[in-house]
Parts: sequence; C-alpha cells; structure tokens
Amino acid sequence: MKSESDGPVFLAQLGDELARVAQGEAARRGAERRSWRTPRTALAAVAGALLVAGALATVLASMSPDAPRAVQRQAARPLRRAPATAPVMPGAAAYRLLQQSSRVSCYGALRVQLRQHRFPPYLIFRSYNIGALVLTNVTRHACDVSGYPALRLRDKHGHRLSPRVVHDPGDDVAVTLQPGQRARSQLIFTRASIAPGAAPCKTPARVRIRLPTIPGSSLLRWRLGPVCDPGTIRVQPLR
Amino acid sequence: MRTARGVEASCDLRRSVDEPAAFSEFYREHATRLLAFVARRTFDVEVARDLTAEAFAQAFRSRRRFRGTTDEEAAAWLYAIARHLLSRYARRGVVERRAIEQLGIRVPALEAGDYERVVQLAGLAEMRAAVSEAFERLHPDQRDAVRLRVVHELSYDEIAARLAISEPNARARVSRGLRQLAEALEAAPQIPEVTT
Repeated sequence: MKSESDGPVFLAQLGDELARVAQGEAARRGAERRSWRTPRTALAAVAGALLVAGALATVLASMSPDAPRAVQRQAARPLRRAPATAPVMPGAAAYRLLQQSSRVSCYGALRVQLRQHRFPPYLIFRSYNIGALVLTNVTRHACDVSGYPALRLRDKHGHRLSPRVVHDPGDDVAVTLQPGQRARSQLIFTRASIAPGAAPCKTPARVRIRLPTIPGSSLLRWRLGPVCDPGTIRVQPLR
Repeated sequence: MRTARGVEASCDLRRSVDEPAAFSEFYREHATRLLAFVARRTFDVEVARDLTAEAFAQAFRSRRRFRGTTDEEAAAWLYAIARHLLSRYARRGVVERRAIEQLGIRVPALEAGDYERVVQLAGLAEMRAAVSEAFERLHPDQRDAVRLRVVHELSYDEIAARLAISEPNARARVSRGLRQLAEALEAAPQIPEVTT
C-alpha cells in the first residue's frame, strides 16, 4: 500500500481538518466534564443539605432543656416544604453568572430542516407563503441557539439568487434546547407576483443556512416554492 | 484475523469513540485506498475528493454506531458508507455533503499535481485506455447507440428515432455495447481493494 507521502496533497490537508474537528470535540467534552454536571440538581442538593442541617439543629436545640421556648415551638411545628424557587443565598448572583458563561454551543448537535406551514384549503390562492426553519437537538446534552439564521439561495443551475432578507423584529434571546427539543425560525415571503410589471418569480432549488455563533452551514433542498415580487424574505429570530 | 499490528491490536475506530484523536490513525490507514476506490467509480478527481471527504466525515460523526471490534470490520464499515454515497451520487448527480457541513470541515482545494496523482493512484489512465480501446472495437451500430445514450443522454425513444430502429432494438444495442465495455473494464489492470 502506498504511503501517505505518495498521495495527493489534499488528502493530507483533509486529514488535518478531521484532526482539528476531533480536537474540538475532545476539548468540548473536557469542558463539559469540568463544568457543573447539572447546575439545578447541584443547587437542589445544596439547598436540601441546608434544610436538613437547619432542621437537625432545631431538633437538637429543642431537645435541650435550656432551649428557648421559641425554638421549642418551632421544633413542634411540622417542617415546611422547600420553596419551589431557588432560595436566595449568598453567591446566587455569581451562580447565575456562571450559568450564563457556561452555555454550550449547539455545534454538531442540530438536525436542520425546512418545513412548509400547513394552510387551510381555502387559502390555496394566497399570495404569500410561510415556511419554518426547524432545528432539533439530536444529542444527549442541552445546548443553546440564538439570533437570526442567514440564508443563501441558489437556483437549479447553482446560480445565486438574491432576495432581500429582512429580520422581523422579535426577542433575540438565547434558547436552550434540551435533548430532542426544537427551535424554529419562521420565513415569510410573497409567492405570487401581484404588482404590475413585477420581476418574474424565481424558484430556488437549494438554500444554505448559517446559524449565528455556530461554525459551518447546512445545505437544504428548497421546497417552499417561488419567491416573488421583488423577492423579500422576512426571517424571525430563533425561538 | 491477524492484523499487521498483532493479534489483539485495538481497533482505531473503536478507540476514537472515547479518544477522538485516534480517528486520525484510522484516516491515515484508509484515506489513500478509499480515494482510489471512489475515483475508479466516478472517473472524476474532484467528485472523488468530495465523496472521500464526506465518507470520512460521516464515519467520524457516526463512529459510535460502529459495532465491530477489528480493523477489518472497521474498513468494511467505512466502505459501506462510501458505496452508499456512490449510489446516491449515481442517482442524483450531486455529492452529498451533509456531514461535511455539520462538522464544519473545509474541504481542501486541489493542488497542482493532485489530478495526476489521483489518476495514477486509481489507475484511471489504464482504465480509460481500456475503455477507449474497447469502445473502438464495438460494432458500429452498438457504438452509435452507446454514444447517443451515454454521451448525449438521449432516451431510448429518441435513440430509436435517430437511428431509424425500434425502441427494443435501441435498448438491445445499448445493453450489448455497455456489457462489452464492462468486460473491458474487468480486464483492466486492477488495484487491491477491500472486499466485503
């Protein structure tokens, strides 16, 4: 078998690229192991421990004949349930900051799909169309997405189409996707030329999707029909 | 089966599940041969490059699903991925790049001399010569029919109309011609390939 040095140059470069991806995955795993395993359960464990310690101290104090009457009355009352929300305690602000800074990127975690909105039959002659970009977390870890997806459309000959992409106003906030959860971004555009003398509609064949803060892109078949008049696509933020 | 590294050599692909960096060993072991395998079936250096990259990207992305334990099983698994990609390419005429896109892999451009290297690796020159020679040896009726079908991509109806023959006759001429070309390819100098 020929050695690697006999092969074409691009094979070695491809090997370097794969090594880079593998290194990124290894680093990501290491970061996940070092971070809090499940911040909510860890906090719940601490809260539970504090509650038990407090209750134990109260019971012990009440057993002492010198305990003040207030403590004895408190010991006689049944223990209250832990509050549903996280207890306010020193360091809560620092914990929230840690939670925000340890957001996990959805790089390599998403299945990207383009879906057609289902209209009722009486809207078959509508002049607009609605589609949705659906991102599904297919891993076993939570991760975050946010922002407006970028679109690049091409026709069947590979020529780039340039409809104007407009960001619909909305809350541009980070969305945490648990395993199996989905985020959506709606796409709204005109599908019939209604203005006299309007440019002909163009039907894309493929669309390349880029997501903010996630490297790489996805190439999908465009199944949403023509984009018309003059070709504006309104994109909503991921939610 | 013994491998070159001994009876109980650990499988690089299995190791790469927990140690992603081990995938580089797996790549180095199979990259050149897989490229030649794909190039011999596509006759296109750029397409072979893209299919090879996608095959390894899919292998890396789904390596946890590999259930084998030996290097031979890992090779067969990789080639099964490559065959699947070749089949889709043959049907659709488009190279699938889903795993490449998802992993953010930058497929390198072909350098000067890469074309010649791939042609040499895959023995494409010998294959082309064998096919060209066999094509010239075809009966003129079969040669015309194969040319209209393969080069000009005409339907059998159109071929029949062009050659003033019946449609079944057109199919028969193309079929016999392609069979003779396939026999010539079988007889072309072979390179060792993974058999599964």
